Amino acid sequence: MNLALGRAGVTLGLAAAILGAVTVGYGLIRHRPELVRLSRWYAALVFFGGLLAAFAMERALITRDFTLQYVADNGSTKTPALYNFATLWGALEGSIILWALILGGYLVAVVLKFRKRLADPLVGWALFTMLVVCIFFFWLLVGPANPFKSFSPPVGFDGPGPNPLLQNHPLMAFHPPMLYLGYVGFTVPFAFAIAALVTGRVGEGWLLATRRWTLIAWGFLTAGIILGSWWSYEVLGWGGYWAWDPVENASLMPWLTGTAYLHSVLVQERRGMLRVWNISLLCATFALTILGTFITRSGVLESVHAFTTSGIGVSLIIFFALIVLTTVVLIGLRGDRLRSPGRIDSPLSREGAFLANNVLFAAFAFVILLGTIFPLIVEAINDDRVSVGVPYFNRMTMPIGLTLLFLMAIAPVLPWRKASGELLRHRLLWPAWIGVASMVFAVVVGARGFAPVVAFGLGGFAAGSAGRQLVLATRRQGWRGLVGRANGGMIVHLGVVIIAVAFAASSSYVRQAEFTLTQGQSAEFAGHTLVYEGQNVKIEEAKIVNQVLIRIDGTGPWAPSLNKFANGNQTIGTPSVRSTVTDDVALSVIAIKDGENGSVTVRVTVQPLIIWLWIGGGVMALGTLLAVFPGRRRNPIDAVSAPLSVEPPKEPTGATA
Amino acid sequence: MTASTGGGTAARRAARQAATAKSAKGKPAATPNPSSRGRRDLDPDALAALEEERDFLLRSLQDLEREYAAGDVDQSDYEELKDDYTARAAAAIRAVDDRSAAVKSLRPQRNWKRTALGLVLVGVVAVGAGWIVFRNAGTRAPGQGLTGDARQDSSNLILQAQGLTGQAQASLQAGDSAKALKQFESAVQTYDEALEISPENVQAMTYRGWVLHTIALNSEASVAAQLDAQARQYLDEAIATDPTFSDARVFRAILERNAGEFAAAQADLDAIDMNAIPVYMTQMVNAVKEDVAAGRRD
Repeated sequence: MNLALGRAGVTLGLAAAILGAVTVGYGLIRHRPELVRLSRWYAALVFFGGLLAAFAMERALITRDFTLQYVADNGSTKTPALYNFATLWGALEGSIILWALILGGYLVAVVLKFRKRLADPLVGWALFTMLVVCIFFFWLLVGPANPFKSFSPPVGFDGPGPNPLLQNHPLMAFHPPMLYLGYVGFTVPFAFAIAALVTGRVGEGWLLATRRWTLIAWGFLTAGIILGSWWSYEVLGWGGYWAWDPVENASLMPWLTGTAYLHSVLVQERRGMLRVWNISLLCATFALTILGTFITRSGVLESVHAFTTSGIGVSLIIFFALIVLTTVVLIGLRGDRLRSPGRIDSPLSREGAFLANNVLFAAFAFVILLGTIFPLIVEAINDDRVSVGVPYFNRMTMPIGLTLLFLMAIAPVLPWRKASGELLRHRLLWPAWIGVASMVFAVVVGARGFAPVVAFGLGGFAAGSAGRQLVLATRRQGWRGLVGRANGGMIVHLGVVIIAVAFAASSSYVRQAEFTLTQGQSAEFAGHTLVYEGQNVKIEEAKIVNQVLIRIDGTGPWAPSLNKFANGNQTIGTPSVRSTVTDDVALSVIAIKDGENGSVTVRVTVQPLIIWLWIGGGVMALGTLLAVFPGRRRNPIDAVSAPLSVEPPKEPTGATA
Repeated sequence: MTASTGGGTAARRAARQAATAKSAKGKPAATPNPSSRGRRDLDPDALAALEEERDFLLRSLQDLEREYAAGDVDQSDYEELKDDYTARAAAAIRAVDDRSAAVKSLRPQRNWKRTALGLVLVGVVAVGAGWIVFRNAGTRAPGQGLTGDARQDSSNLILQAQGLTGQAQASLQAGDSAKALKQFESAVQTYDEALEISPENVQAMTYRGWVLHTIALNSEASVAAQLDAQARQYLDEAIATDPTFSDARVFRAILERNAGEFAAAQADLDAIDMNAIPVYMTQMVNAVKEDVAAGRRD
């Protein structure tokens, strides 16, 4: 039943996508708008196909239908309900179902949003592009990543369940869908970019049509990355949240190019410039989501030669190449029209700052891309297995990050075209003082080291600048001064500043040590007292949890544990974290020794300001949400400069009648 | 019949503008300034709309010819419609040409020097970044990721270091001593990381010392002596921390035998719990015992 439903869903989705692309494409080429309008039905069918496939898989997972290979490989009767549900995206094939479902959802949303403009060639070509992307993902589900393969389970068969790390924290149920909503969401602006290139309508119309879609996709990706870091921190037990590993890098690269686009698009909207750049950034963002999927899903991480043996690896890299080729060819063909007639008047202007910010974001993405693919290139060339460590990423990204913070402080107060020194002095005075005060405060409370202290100062500067904009906006417009792209953007800036400061503090002043303690023994570390109180064993259906009870500064007991899962005999640690607004103490169990004294070895990681990373993420999400809502439209007859005094002008002294 | 009679306003407006521009000829040409022109004049979307309209009118002309040939349109209607379409298509074509020319005239000249400078800059940044990533790349230990690294606990770091030592031995056997040295150094560095978070880890101390001794075996005499002295320090420290840790005793006994300190070597050998050491080490211990008994250096 589940097998049949799933296969029917995938086949329906693929068939609808193919027929839809052919019909819409034919309608566009032959100028038959009635055919293009049929896209709404095809979109609905594609979505329904994805929904059916996802429903069938969820049903199979929930009912433990081991006649499906995917369920036999990843399901288990012992897996708790939430993780069982989340197993849909716990392995490759299931995650492609989720991708296809979300893509179908976005397709339907685009059709609904543009339902009155379906015959418009711009919308038509965008839908055609989205349908082609749908063909690719549904084809993966039919071919190389088929989740609906049958399996004959022996009597009494029970699967191993998902990877134990994927059933250790509820965040697993939320962060992958968020990431996918972000990744897949970028298909919409990409499709409109391609449509703009095909139709030659490379002006600002398509930008206005897609800016909210881009913001929503970016918001989801941001939330996905932050939740992923949180999950890593709460589950993996290494005492950190960002390790620069390929999976993290794969999610950060499109975020960086997407962020660059969100800024540079303002320059095109206002000044009609950076058209090639904006289209390139969007296409790069989408291409990077596919490259990221290739890096994380093709098996290339195990060995550069492994991906050729997995069908999905070859498919993804070909699709990536196709995206890049299509984009380059179309930009080449439209090159003349894309060239802007204007120029940036002064580097000290809003557009100058945005351009600088874009160069930095692009450099940031390039640094990470290079670091991520360098080991693959080396291995492909001479079979040497090398690794690019954390120092490379820290050294290269730190100066870029600091410069971006500086620009974040300057750019919001800059006017378009050019700024005078006096204007800058006036607008930056308070933010600069806040920056200096932050730096002094940081030094007084014990911050040391050039990079973190500068980061705190620049963070204060940028926060002051964003705060100034928000104060001015709310004075003018009341609560509506917090809504809209510009004002919501300033709240996002505040979130970024909070994260930047927390990142600088937590990565610069991390302290880590291991202690072997016997019951009742205590240890002092980084200003905290740890007392080992004993052990507690909890027997659950899926695992045996061996908790180590430790009091931190008299609070607790905190209970990091070693979990022995019923299937697979794997022992996985679960850390326990005591969070306060000033620092986090994270405990992980390394070993529990049997014997009379029952000593345990625990790892203690103390990092300042960690909780602010998640608070900053929340502020960014709130800001994005507020930015999505339409702000107050400026009335064309509104005065843009200060109002004139209502008092009658005084007569000059000594004036005579 | 596909063209509507109400269409063509954009084309006509553009044609009127073009005509106005032509009538102003003879006056001194103003310097092109994008800000002084209507934004819409330079908007690619407006140009695309005109092109769409042009294509639409040309298609309508084709349709008209077809319908006329099929006898669906009478002569007078045909001529009237054809004149109308032709005039409108011509206006659209002129408008497209004029706008294209206007956009082209306002476009700044490409500055080749600046383009070249930009390309050179991008090249320098790319090569520089490539060099930096090359300098920062290290041997990938078994179990280690492609990039980045989660902070490992001491037992994982020791496993990583042991893996690197194994790789180094393989490189030595393959005759690539330079690569082996690099791998041994990575192993030492990894043991240091383990000792940083777990300063009393006797396993890390012991095997760091042993790796230093292995490097010494493949070094020149003067360097080898220094390395062996350092190795000895680590082994002494490990035994001081945990006198029952047999591995450290075995390794120190080997160093003592090599140095001709047979009494000290014998004391360490006697302190070894033979049940606590792995099989491969048993053979090693027996060989050392024979050497010490015979007063024979390695």
